[in-house]
Amino acid sequence: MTTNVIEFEQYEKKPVKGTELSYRNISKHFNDNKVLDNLNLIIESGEFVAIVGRSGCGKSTLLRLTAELEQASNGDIHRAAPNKKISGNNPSGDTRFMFQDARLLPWKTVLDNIGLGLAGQWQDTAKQVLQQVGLLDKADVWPATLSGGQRQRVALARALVHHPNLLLLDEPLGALDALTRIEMQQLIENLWQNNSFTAILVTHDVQEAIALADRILLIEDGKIGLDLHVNLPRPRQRGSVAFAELESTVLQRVLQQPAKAELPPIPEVKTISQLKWAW
Amino acid sequence: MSTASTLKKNLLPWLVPIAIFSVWQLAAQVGWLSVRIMPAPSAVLLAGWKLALSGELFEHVRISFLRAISGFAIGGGAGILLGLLNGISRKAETLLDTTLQMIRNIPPLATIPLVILWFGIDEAAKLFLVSFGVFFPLYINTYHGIRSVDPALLEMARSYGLRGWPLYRDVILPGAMPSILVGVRFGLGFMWVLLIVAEHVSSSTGIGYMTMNAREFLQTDVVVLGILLYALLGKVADVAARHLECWWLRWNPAYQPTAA
Repeated sequence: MTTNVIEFEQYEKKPVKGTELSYRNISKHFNDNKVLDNLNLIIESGEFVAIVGRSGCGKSTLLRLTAELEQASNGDIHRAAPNKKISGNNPSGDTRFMFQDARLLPWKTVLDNIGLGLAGQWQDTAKQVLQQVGLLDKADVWPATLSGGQRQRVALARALVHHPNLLLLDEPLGALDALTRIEMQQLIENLWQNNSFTAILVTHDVQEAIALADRILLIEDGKIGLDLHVNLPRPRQRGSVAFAELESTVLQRVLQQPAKAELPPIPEVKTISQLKWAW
Repeated sequence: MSTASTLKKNLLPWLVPIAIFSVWQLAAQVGWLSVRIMPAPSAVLLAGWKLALSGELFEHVRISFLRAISGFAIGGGAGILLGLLNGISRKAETLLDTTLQMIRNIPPLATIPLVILWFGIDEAAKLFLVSFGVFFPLYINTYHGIRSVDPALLEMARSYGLRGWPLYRDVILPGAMPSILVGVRFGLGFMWVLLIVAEHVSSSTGIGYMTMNAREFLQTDVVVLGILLYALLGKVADVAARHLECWWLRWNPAYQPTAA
C-alpha cells in the first residue's frame, strides 16, 4: 500500500459536534450470565475513549448497547446528539458502527458500498471520503479483490460519509497485520481530529488504546474498573518513555484480574495403544 | 496463452462427441447397425434438413420452446414468489411450508392421470405439468437463499438505516441470488423432462408429437432427431443460465471468468 500520505481536507466543512453520552445503571445479562452490572459512565462530546478488558468482559456488549444493536436489560443510555440529522431514516442516524470484520456487501462496488443508505447525489462526497482513506483508485472494484486492511478502510469511509456524531469501533483492526494496524490507527486519529466526532474504540490492544484515546476505560466484573485519562501529546510516540510506562501500568492493571472462568482441565487423551477393540 | 493451446482447450471437450459420431456413422454405413434400430448420423441430419426445408421443424421447436418457457415462467415465478414470502415472513412459513413440503414429495409424473382428468390433453395439462415440476426447485432454493443471507450483513445494513424495500434490493435479494440461480438451473432440467413426457402423453404439435408420429411410421431418423433436439435445447438453456450466473454473480470470485 502506498497510501500513507493522505490529504485531510474536510470534505464538507460542517460544524460537527460529538455526541455526549451518559449511561445510567446499565445492566445486561444473557440468560443467567451477567455481563454488565449497574454500570455508570459519562462520555464527553468529542472524546476519544478506548475500552479495554479481558475477553468476555462485556466491552463489546457495551458498544452494541450504545449502537442500539442490543437492548439493555436495565438502565438507560442518554445521548445528547447535537445539531443534525443524517439522510436515511433510522433514529440513531448520527451513530455509525465499525465492525471487527469489514462487512462490505460483496455484490456492490467499493463506491456503492460507501453509498449504502445514502440518498440523492452522494457520489462526489463518497469519492472525497474514499480519497481520505486513500483508496480512490479502488472505487469501482469488487470488495473481494481488496486486502483486509483495504476493506477496513472502505468500512471506515462508509461510516464517515454519514458525518457521524458518534463513531463506534469494535476492534476494527484486530485482524490486520502490525504495520497496517499502525497505519490505520494514524488514519483514524487524523480523521477524528478533523471531524471532531465522539469515538469509542473497543480493543484488546493496550498499545492501540494508548496511541489513540483521551481516556482509557477498563471493564471488569461488569463495571468500570479503571478510568484513566491519557495526557500524552499527539501524535503519540510509541517509543517514548511516558508511553511505555503508561502501557505497562495499564497492562498490569488489566492482568491483575484473573481470567474470568477457570479453564476446565484438558481431558486425558487415550493413545492408540490404550484402546481396545470392543469385541 | 498461445493461440495453439487456446484452440486445444476449446476443441478438447468436443473430441469425445466427435469420436462417438464417427464410430456411429461408420457402424451404420458398414451395416453393423440396422436402420430400424439406429439410423446413421448422416440420415438424421438429412431428415432434419428435409423437415427444416418444409418449415415443419421450426414450427415444432417453436411450440415446444414456448410451452417450456411459459411453464417455467408460471411455475418458476410462483416458486420464487412463495420462496420470498416464506423466507421473509415467519408467519407465512409456519402457515405454508409444511403443506408445500408435502406436495413436493409427490412425483409430478404421478399426477398425470389426474391432470388429464382435470385439464384434458390440451395445452393446459402440459403447462400444469411443467409448472408443477419447476415450482419446487425454485421455491426451495429461493427460500433457502433468503434464509442463508449473512446475518452480519443484515445487522450492518440495518445499522446503516436500511429498512423495507432498500434492504431487500441491496442486501437480501443479492445475497439470495446464488442460491436462486442454482434453483433456476435445476428448474430448467426438470422443465425439459416434464415437457417431453407431457408431449408424449398426447399432442398434435411440438417435438414430442413429431417423434411419436415418426415412430408410427418407423422413421427412426426423425425419432433420433427429436431426441437430439431435446438435448440441444437443454444445453442451450443451461448455457443461458450459466451466462446469467456469470453476469449476476460477477462480484463473486467463484464466477469470474478465469483469465485465460
